[in-house]
Amino acid sequence: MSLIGKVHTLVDAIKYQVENRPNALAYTYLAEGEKMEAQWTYAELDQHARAVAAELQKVTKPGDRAVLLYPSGVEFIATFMGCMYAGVIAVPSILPHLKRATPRLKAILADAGAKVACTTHEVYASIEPFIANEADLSSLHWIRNQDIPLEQARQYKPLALDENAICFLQYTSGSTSTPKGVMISHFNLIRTIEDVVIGFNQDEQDVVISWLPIFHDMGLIVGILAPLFAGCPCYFMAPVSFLERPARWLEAITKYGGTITVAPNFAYGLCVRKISEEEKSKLDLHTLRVAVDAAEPIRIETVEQFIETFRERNFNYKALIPAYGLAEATVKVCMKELDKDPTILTLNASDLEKHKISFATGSEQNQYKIIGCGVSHIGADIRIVNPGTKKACAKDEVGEIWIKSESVAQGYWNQPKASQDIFQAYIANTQEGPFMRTGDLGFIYDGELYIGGRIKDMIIIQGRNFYPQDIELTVEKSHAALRPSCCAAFAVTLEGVERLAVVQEIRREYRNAEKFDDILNAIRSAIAKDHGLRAYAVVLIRPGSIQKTTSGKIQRHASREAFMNGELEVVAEWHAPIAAPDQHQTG
Amino acid sequence: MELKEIKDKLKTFICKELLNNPTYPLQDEEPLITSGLMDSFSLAQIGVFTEIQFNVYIPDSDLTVDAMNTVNQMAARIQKDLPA
Repeated sequence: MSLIGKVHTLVDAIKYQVENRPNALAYTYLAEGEKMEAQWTYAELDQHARAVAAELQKVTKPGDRAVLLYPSGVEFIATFMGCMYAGVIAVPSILPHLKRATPRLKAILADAGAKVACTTHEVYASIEPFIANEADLSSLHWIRNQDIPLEQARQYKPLALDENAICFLQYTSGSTSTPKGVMISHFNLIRTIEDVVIGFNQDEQDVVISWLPIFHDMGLIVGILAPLFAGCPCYFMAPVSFLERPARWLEAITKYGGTITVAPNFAYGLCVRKISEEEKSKLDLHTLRVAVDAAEPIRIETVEQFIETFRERNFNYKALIPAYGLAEATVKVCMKELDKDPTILTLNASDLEKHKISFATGSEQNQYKIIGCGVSHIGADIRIVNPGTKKACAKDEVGEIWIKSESVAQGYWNQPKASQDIFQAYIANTQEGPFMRTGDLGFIYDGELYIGGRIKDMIIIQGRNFYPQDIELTVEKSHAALRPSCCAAFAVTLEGVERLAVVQEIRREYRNAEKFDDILNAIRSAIAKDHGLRAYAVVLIRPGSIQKTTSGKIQRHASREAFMNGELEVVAEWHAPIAAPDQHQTG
Repeated sequence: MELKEIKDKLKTFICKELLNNPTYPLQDEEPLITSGLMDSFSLAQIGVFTEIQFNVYIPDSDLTVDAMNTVNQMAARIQKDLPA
């Protein structure tokens, strides 16, 4: 039976599964991406979650925050659901296993005002040495799952949940010093899950396979929580298992008959490049009907290569589903409809640089291809608005994507000003609202949403608008010595003028090459050819040294900062013979 | 470097890379951009080519349609800054 429209919180959904199918398989964790380490039925999940909830009820009251520090595994799910059972606001966070991650954790703890931290024995042991020295960590009440006896589940005192109460805080991967916690209500979560489940036509017959980080929106909601609502099993592994050997992802789909999976664009590219012929020969992807490509700009080239490469392994091209979403809309905004072919528009590139939509007619050089991200499945009101004037854009204009939907979150925790600015926007010429401002540029054509890129990443040079991902693609294709998906393009200002800088990793086998000039020249020529633009600086850096998020996305602002501060691990570089951006101009 | 050598190198590059027509009989005084033969975005390629081939950096302020419309204009500008 479908639960769509029938439940108000995820707790109701579990209750339904436990009452109707207690022994059906809910979660399987694949250690090292391959070994079945833990398997839980709905009844087991419920019991573990109640045990955690009973523990939480000893030290919290509803509305308190608990930070969740977990590696991928079933314990995280028990605690996340346990928080819900106890009415405690869960704050999933990245593991503080490196010193670099600690300032972010401390900032999140302070911002959320968390009283409790939940984790595993193993994680606790690894961070214990520095907990004692950090007042904000040592003052927390620490809960370790293995310390909680399962029988304690009986002591859990059920409570009535308000569907409008905050269910969890999703911290955005913004700057380290000022993390923003997106407040997701139970209703937001349920509506988003419904949006996903309707979009996927997901039911008990499905099998979800995921390697995404469980503490972040796409991995958490699409990978872990939607299966619970739909009543289908989920097999998941840690991101590192996938990154070590990307074939594990598709092997799991083959082995368990995966029907649904989700990943950012770069993961599809990794599969094309890193899966050997021998690994490939054992794959069979005929069961896979939904492979969502979202969370970072979608490269048509990657999509085409993936489809081409895995066609012979029975991958159906219609299963590749471009989608768009963001934490501020819980996770999903829109996706391609299942049975439709992907829509690819060929636009006039020079018009697009001026934010005008027109179809290409002339030379191939002036063409820009863009793939559609489909539609909302819960009737979200999506508008294109000029981010400066806040007036509605004309049909043929690119503007900021504004959204009004039941999946739009309640704002940022403890940040009334930012919440007002982002979540309470009104269209200036019609007074319609409130809308949530996504900060992404895009346009609507034939009912389908098309995504440009982040406004703040936009590179504006001499009145022309460039999306960094387009320049990055040009750069990485310009020479065989360059590592794919390891480039950051950004603007720097000097002499009051915006200029382009690119930072690109070199492949390990080329790092001692002597022909760096050839590589730098190839990059500069390619940028000029593809974009009619001269780079001000091109920097080749050591393999593995570009800054990325935990899910593998390029952090352009971090690269820009390292560039400005001279902190890049430079192998070779070229700068235009003009003053450096940090020098003072004299005359 | 002789002016003729600069012009020949420029012409070879322009015909091959920008006009996609290596045998095009490009003239020294032939307007390139105002005639529509190539578009103004191609100036970026001329600029990078000049840097790599002649080690001459032409600032943005000089890399304009007015100043770079013919092979003669380009060659003269390059020769001015040519390293000794």
